Amino acid sequence: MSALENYFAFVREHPWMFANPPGSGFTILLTEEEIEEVQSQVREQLQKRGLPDAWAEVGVVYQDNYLLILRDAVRFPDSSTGTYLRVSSQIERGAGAATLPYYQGHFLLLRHFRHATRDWQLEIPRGFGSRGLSGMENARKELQEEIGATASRILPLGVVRPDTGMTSDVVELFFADIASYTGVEELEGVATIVSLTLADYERHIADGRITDVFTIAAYTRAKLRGLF
Amino acid sequence: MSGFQEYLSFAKLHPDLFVNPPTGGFTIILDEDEIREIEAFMAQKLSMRGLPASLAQVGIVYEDQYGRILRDAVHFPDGSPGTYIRFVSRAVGVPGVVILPMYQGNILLLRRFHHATRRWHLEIPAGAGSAQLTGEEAARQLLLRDIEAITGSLVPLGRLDVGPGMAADGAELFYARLASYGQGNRREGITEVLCLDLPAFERMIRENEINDGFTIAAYLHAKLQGLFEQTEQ
Repeated sequence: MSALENYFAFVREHPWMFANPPGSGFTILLTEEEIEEVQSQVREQLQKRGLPDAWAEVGVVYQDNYLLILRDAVRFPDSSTGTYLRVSSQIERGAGAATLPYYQGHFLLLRHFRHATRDWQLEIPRGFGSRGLSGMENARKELQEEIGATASRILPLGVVRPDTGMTSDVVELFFADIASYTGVEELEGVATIVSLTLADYERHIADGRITDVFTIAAYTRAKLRGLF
Repeated sequence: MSGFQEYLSFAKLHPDLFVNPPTGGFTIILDEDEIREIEAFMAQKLSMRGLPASLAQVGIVYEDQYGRILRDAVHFPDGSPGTYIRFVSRAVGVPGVVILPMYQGNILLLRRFHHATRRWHLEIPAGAGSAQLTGEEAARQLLLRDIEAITGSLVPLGRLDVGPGMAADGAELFYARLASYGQGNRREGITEVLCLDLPAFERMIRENEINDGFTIAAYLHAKLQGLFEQTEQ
């Protein structure tokens, strides 16, 4: 199958990703003729900058078992045309879940190492989506797997989108009243549970010790809803 | 230069991206023999799951004018080997900029269509940083481009990681007092500029009408710094 045939097959299987709502301005071009025209125009621009022709290619330009990158041909709001990149890590798995665990007046966070930043991060438990599980079931699973916790109550806090300019990924947020937690033996030395009071949690955000978008968003929603 | 040699050269050029903490982290392996062993191990694991062995290949596995995807060989904290992908933008170490714009005591919010999500969002101005500009300069330029704004004072709010599972660069957050603003930039997908008082803005976050992570984080930082309580200049 050619790269373009592969792209068209992807479009047929995921039509919602190619919606062209009226007035949106960024119209995805899906005829072979239009795509080839855009590719040749972008190729010419890239050549002028001494960049590889391959970067003009429209299609599924990267795919592995975690991540997908699409390069679409689009018409911009000023009627010019070009290519536009987008990333998804949730095509097969669905939305992730992140949960703010609250236990006896304290919030429970995990301090663990993140490969992307090559540094430790303080974060609430979060995981990939899991087909066949609802967001709330997923939240319960993550609480159990990451901090060995059972929740007496879990409340949905809506969703957060980490980077609308780049990715279609979305994460469901939850607030959990924790009945008990034990930690997780296999994670010893890998992820440490940190228990913070409300004042400490806010201080950690204000002084930059907490920088994770999900950890900040879940806290903000829970606070605005008066949950603590 | 082969793709693999290019990866090793990239690692030499950007040692900060290949730091190995003394304990507890994911140790990156840069020895060629060890990498080959890990690739063979992963290829076998993938083929047992019916997935292509090429997904075990370590190196720069994707590249364009915006960035690269690296697939590193690592040892996990329990000592087991594996591979781990991450995205590194072309301007290595240059964070994006996000600005909470205030005008006469109200917050300006954009209605903006994004290609990545194929839908409209309510969010504050956000964009790429530049290696040639400071964060503050990039923030002022972005406000001018997105909403024709002339910026008075800017207050740094801190840094945000937007999914540190994957991307390394994050964003710098700012609070801006605007002297003036104009139309939303249609070329950037902005179809409306809303001017909201604080209670209306907070209600929209609470009710999930605002779900952009940058917007929520900038709001909380400004709130914690007491910036909404100060009289507008």
